Amino acid sequence: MKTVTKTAGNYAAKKKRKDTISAYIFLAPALISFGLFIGLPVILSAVLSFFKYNLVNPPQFVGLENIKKMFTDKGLFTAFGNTFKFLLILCPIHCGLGMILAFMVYRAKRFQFFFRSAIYFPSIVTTASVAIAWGYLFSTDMGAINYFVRLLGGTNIPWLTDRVVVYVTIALFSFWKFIGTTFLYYFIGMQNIPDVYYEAAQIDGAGIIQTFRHITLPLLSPTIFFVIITNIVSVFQIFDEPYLLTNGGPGTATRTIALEIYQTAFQDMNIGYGGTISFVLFLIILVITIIQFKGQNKWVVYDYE
Amino acid sequence: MKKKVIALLMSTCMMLGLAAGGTVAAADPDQAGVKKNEVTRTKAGSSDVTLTLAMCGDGTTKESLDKLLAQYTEETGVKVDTIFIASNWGEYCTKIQTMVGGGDDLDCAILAIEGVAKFLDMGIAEPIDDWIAANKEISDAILSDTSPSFQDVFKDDEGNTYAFPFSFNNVVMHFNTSRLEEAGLELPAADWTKDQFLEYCEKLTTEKDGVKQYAVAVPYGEYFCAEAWLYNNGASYMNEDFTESTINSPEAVEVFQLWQDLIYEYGYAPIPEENVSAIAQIINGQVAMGSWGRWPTANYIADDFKDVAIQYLPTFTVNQQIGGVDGIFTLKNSKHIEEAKELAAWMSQADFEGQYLSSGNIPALHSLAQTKISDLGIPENYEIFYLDSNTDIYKPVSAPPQFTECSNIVLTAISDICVNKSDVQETLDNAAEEMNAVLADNK
Repeated sequence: MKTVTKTAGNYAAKKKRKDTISAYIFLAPALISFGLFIGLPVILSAVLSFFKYNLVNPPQFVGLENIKKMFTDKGLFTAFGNTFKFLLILCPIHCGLGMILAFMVYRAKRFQFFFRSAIYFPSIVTTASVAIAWGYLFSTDMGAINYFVRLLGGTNIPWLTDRVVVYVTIALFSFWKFIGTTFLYYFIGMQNIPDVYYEAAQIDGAGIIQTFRHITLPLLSPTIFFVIITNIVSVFQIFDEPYLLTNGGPGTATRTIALEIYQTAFQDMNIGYGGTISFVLFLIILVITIIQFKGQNKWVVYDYE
Repeated sequence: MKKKVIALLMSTCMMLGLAAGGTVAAADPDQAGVKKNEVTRTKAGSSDVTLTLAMCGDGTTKESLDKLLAQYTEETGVKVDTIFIASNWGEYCTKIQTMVGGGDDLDCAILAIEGVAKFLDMGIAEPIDDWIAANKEISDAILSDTSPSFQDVFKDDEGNTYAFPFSFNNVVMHFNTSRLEEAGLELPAADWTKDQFLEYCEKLTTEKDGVKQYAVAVPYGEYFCAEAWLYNNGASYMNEDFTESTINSPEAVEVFQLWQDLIYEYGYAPIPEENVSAIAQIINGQVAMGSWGRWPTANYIADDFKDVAIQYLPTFTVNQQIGGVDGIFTLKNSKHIEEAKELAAWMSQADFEGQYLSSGNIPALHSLAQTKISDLGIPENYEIFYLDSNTDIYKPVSAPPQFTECSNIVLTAISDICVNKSDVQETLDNAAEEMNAVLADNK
């Protein structure tokens, strides 16, 4: 009996080891590419923070010079401020309106395919080409939108030339261009909610708002959590919209941290300082994300199935 | 729990991806730096040599360039691959720098004044003094026919020469002549003043079919063109040895204030916008005047626009022509230095320039400019493009080794003043402070 147990134990251990090896083999391509193209550059980015480097001449060790520079760099503070403004504007738009849109389309009895396609379509169009088109649409003197504004008796709206209005313009563009992705996450999340809950709610006489509030919202919380985290990370990286529509202007009004990194590292060729800024940004996002993960226990429902 | 782990993994990937955005590929100093003593100097004319030439532009001239270079291959046996990089000069220089740093085989590159000091500072370019000494007749013919001011741009502090002037631009005022006619105006005299300029602006600001037509476009996003205005008021972005910013001098403030007033005080100029081309606006008549070099002629031809004339910029306190020049540089990393120098010199001579440069930049060879520019026939008064191109009348645009940083500071200040309507003195004081920090390395 003992021998049988021992043999069975050996077999189980062998199988476990074999499974582990298989798992590592299957994971290897992803792990190697992640390590090579993401992990290694992150480490290099941190290392380069201590160097002055222009890609051509050998790096020069400058100690904490780049970190000290950050504290006196007014442009950097402006860029951080602008990025936080975008965070406050764009995250609620994407996370909130994306969910409302998804719920409306999910509940729609007709034309669901049309709405899904129409909302997602801008996400697959090249940002650069549509941004140029939007630039023309929003032009103060020559733009189509102001043409209609004038026809209706209004005066030209400085869509891209006023430091406040420009945020509205970028928010509109961002909503149109990128809402499709958030919408898709929510839509899939809603499809994963078992129908049985909705059927029970219907039997109990719940209305659409009650159903949304008491069934959709809690059961969608893992998706909401994921969307919020990814949105915050992507807004911290916001680059396309301000770069293509305003180039960070007017003045420095829409200059974001990603634009600052791009200019510092790849235009001024100050790779060391660019690396410092991006590493600090990484740390900021890391802290925010850790806080979000700690806080999720209070509102995210995972085990409902 | 599984979902928690997946969410955690995906978020971590995104964050790491973000941090990775600001870094570069592995950098072995020996590989990334300028390669030392690895140059294989092959004899000119070897048929197995292929050179790589980088040009700035969208590639519309690639076909004609490749055809001309095929002639070069026929003459010398050296093949030439061309790479066109579509961007402005600042970004083009960055791209070349990245290519050199990344170890790409690049033998020659066209380089404008904006990037010269930076390239010399980094030791990317190879001097051509030995070629000049060995080919005295050809080099004398080029040097005696080009502006000494431009030749100086391609020399380092020790007097080594790195390239011949290839093409150049001065900055002049372009006029839509239909708009001038409608306003009953003639092309102004060469020595027109600021007051006369404002009179023109007054008369050229009109309304057509309910849409405002403006007199002038301010030089938005144009480091080179904007400094041309400053020069005419005895100002500039920085001092001549690039050690201190002068962008907040009273003379400079006056010019920046004028631009702001043209937009907001007088309403003579539209608020400039990032995606709106002022050249397109002059072609469609929405603005009547704009300050550029000769490069808009390419747009004029493409749009079959002929109602255009040019004149010097109005004199404020002086009339100082600005100049921006480019040249074909040999890169130090080239494995075929001698062939690369031969190619660069061949391209700087009249035969090649004459066939390659039609619209766009002005050929640096004065004799060639005379014929090429008149051949095109537009704009009216085109002689002023080349009239002084074999003299030292031009003052080169301010191009320190930190050109990209300074250019960004200037363009942000222009945007702040002309779009944001910021206080001119305060904005320029801040710009000067930023620029001084950047220029401190030159002291």
